[in-house]
Amino acid sequence: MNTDRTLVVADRLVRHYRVQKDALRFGRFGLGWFRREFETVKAIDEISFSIDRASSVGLIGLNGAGKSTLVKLITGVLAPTDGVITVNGLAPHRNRTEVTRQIGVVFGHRTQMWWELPLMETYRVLRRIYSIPRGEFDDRVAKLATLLEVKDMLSRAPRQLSLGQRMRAEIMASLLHGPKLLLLDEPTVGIDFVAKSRIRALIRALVSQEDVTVILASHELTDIQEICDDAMLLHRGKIVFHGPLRSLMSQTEGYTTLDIDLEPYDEAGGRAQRVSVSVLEEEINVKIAEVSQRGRIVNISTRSQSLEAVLTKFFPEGE
Amino acid sequence: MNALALFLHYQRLNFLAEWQDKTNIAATLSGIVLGGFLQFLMVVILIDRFGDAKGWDLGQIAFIFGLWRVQYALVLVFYGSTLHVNHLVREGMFDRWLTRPRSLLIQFAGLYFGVAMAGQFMVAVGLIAFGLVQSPLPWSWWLLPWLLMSTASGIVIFLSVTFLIASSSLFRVDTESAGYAMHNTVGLWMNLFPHSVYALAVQFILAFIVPWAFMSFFPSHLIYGRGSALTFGSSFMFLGPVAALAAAGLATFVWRRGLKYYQGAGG
Repeated sequence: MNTDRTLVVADRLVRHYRVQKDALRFGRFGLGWFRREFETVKAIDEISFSIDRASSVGLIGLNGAGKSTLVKLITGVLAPTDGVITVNGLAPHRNRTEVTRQIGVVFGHRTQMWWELPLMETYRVLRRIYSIPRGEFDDRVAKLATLLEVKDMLSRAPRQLSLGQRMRAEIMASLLHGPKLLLLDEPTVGIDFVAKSRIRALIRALVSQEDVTVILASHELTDIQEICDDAMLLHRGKIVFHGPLRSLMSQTEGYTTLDIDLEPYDEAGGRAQRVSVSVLEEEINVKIAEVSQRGRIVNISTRSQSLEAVLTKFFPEGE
Repeated sequence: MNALALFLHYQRLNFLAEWQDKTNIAATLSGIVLGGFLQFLMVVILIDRFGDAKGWDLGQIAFIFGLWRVQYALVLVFYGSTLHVNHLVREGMFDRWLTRPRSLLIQFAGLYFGVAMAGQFMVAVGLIAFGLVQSPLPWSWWLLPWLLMSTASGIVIFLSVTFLIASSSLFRVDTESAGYAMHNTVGLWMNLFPHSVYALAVQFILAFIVPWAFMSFFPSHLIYGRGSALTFGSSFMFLGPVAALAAAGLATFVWRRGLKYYQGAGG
């Protein structure tokens, strides 16, 4: 499975967590603390996959599906319980120093920048951490600052920047050492829609210009639709789909999303209740008749299938 | 050499970052100095009332406590982050460090530079100066090397115990209160007086459980020629470096086990 084209390979990868059954167990006379019961949670349950170089893969799944665990296994933060995972032929948890030189990580929820100091100061310490030669560092800063539109912010501190600007600076920080693999964990969390769209476009540009492989874990499905070519759907630690995003979307060909607005129940005339359903085109009338049992329909509109609607088919029961 | 350069780079940035808020530095620094002065005032009042404490006069008490506080201050200035390891674990800082090609120890050590903690150092120097004026040391050629060696051993002991407590956070144990108790209650308050004023059980704890006694109390017996007065035997005056090695070894062992557990149990 490991060829020159593949960058990340997992073979029967397993990761279990041992968690306390009842976290608040106190027991009689407080003795529960001494008699704690544990259970094994299968965060990653014997999965196999490979990710090609210069590809972009979106990790999709509900909370607890195993996305973060998989990111941590790829970065070497966690060791597998069983099975194998390699990045560029190396097991990350055993070859942390070598592997981390080849990966860049962006955690959307936390910064790696010095809050009070100019961005350039953080970049300089990263130069030392990754032992980047000065000339190469200067070139990278110039190139990435232009590409990510950070040039005018280099002398400013993160606390003076907007969330969107900060995220661009974060992405730049994670790319200074020229990684082969960029892992993005919720990179657009909390960012307004204009900045989000800009960040997505910049990441897209990165994939093509920097020849970097992107693995993106996000609950923001538009991020995945706009950035990634491939998708990996995780559910309860198993892969339920891995392949081109367009092939995932085509699985619901012939389906339409119906938005049906029902008359408000209260006499004061509050907002209409909206019922959104994904149905086969030939079953539209049946569905409308079914929904009309719930109240008087005031408006019906149709939408083409979104990724969200596609995923609802995969995860009908939620978490 | 590379690690040292990285550590110094980190500390330069930490210093610059903290320096941005000078008002905060001034407030913390003056609070620490005032607190240290008021704390020692209690000793002054007690000695004024009782004359001495188990044969130790005010100047000697100030010197012994000052010597302990120098070591305490140096650790806090450079490694104050050890007090907040469980926050670092919870906020995913360890995950970030594990994704970098550098020793976690260096990244951890470079996390903090407490400019305001220099107040602790000022208190310590003030106490030593006061002690030397009140009760001048009997001068000998070995005095300075002895003080330097005791200070170095004391720093290693204090840092190791702090680190040992911090490493427990990697096993998902909340150690912040334990760390605070070691520093503040057992550290700043129990060392305020020569340990011989305490009951045998307390002296035992300060020598073998939380070995602060090796930092300044035991070595000071050599300086003042009072080795025969040591509860556990006069040889304890010389055992600072041995205690430092033992504490460092134990801390390293727990840190390594903690990291292994962390990678095994999940961040």
